[in-house]
Amino acid sequence: MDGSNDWASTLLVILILGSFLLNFTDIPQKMQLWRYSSYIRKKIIQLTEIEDEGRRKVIKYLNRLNVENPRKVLEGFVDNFFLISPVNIEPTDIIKRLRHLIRNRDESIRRYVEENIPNASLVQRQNAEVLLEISSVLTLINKIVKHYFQLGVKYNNWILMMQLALELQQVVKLAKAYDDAMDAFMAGMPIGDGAGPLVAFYLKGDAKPVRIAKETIYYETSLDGRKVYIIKAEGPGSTVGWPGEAVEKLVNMLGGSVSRIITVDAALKLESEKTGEVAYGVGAAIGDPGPEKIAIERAASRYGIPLDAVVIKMSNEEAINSMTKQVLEGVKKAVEIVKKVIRDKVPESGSVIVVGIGNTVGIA
Amino acid sequence: MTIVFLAIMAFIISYMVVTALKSRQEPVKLKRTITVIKCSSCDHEQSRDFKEGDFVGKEEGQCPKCGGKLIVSAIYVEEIPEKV
Repeated sequence: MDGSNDWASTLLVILILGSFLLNFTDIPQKMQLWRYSSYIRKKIIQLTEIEDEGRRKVIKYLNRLNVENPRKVLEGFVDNFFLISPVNIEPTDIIKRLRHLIRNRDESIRRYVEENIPNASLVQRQNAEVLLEISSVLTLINKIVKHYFQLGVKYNNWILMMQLALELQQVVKLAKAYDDAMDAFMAGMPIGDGAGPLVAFYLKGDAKPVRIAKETIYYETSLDGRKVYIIKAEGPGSTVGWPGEAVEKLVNMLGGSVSRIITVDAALKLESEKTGEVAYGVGAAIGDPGPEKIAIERAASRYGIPLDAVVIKMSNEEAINSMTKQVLEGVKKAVEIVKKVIRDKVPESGSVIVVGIGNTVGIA
Repeated sequence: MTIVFLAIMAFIISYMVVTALKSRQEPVKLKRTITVIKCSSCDHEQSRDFKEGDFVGKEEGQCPKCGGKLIVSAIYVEEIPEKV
């Protein structure tokens, strides 16, 4: 027997056995399942730490507001106050139903916070609402990840595990961003989503605010002979107001003689875009589920008023965290673009409504 | 045969080490929050560290240059560059 052929026959045996193993058993899939599930377990531990850190922050904030039993207030909020979407197979009056449900929920949360945090100012209660919501979201993220993980283990579904493992890096990053965002709301600092209200603030000059809708104000000022009405949520507490209802009311008050409506909001950037880039387009720049956006669109279309949108680009994390210098530079650019649009497209002695959409925490 | 086996094992081990190093947490960047205060009458501007209670639009006393109203005009976060 020629000894030099031994390695070749060994290799051939290994190849044939390996081929049987890969194609006729589920050992490779089990190995994948084991690999992905151990990765997911580590990430779930990280998510649980983030959730616990969030809860500690909420309890610390509630302690500062002299709440008697902050843990009980937190537990009473998390997992509750869910919203069931309205029936959509029958779309008639769906907007009215959705608006009713959203406002019902907001009112329940407001009452819950008022009852449990009676000795706090309006601004502190508004910020507490957001902190409780964020804590709720962190708990929900953790539960959903655990749900899919346990489903994958139960049914040996390595594809589900793989999909979950591949998405988890983004999910953990998002959870971390929500946790960091709590610091901004606890301190009452402006966030990236406040870009729209900040543009409105810079445009208003010395004008005094007038309440037009719940937690929503407008200012009346002028720019080069044009009348400028500026709508934003009423700060410096954390609220987005009711800008749609405000636009509707204001347009009706003016009898429809408005030359233009300009909405300004933060927008999610694509990966290749830079934070703070400003873009200009058409439509209602507002990210609500529907009722406020449709109110602006209806007010504009009823009277044939051109509807412009100016957006300041940022990532999801930048939108919910403290405002960065790049976003601030974007806000300043957006102010100049809005002024240019008003000068170029609104006739002298005409009126324009500028709506600063977004969360006005930290911005009066 | 032995050399091929050792080469394959060396490749697998170095791949696992590189993957493990990549998945380590990114270093936490230090940040600083700045409050910018401007005079409503002249071009005087000053910056300081954020303190709780600051918000955009808050009045912060009188301008040292012209006596006009000082107002918080911006609050933003910036990364502290690492010391070389």
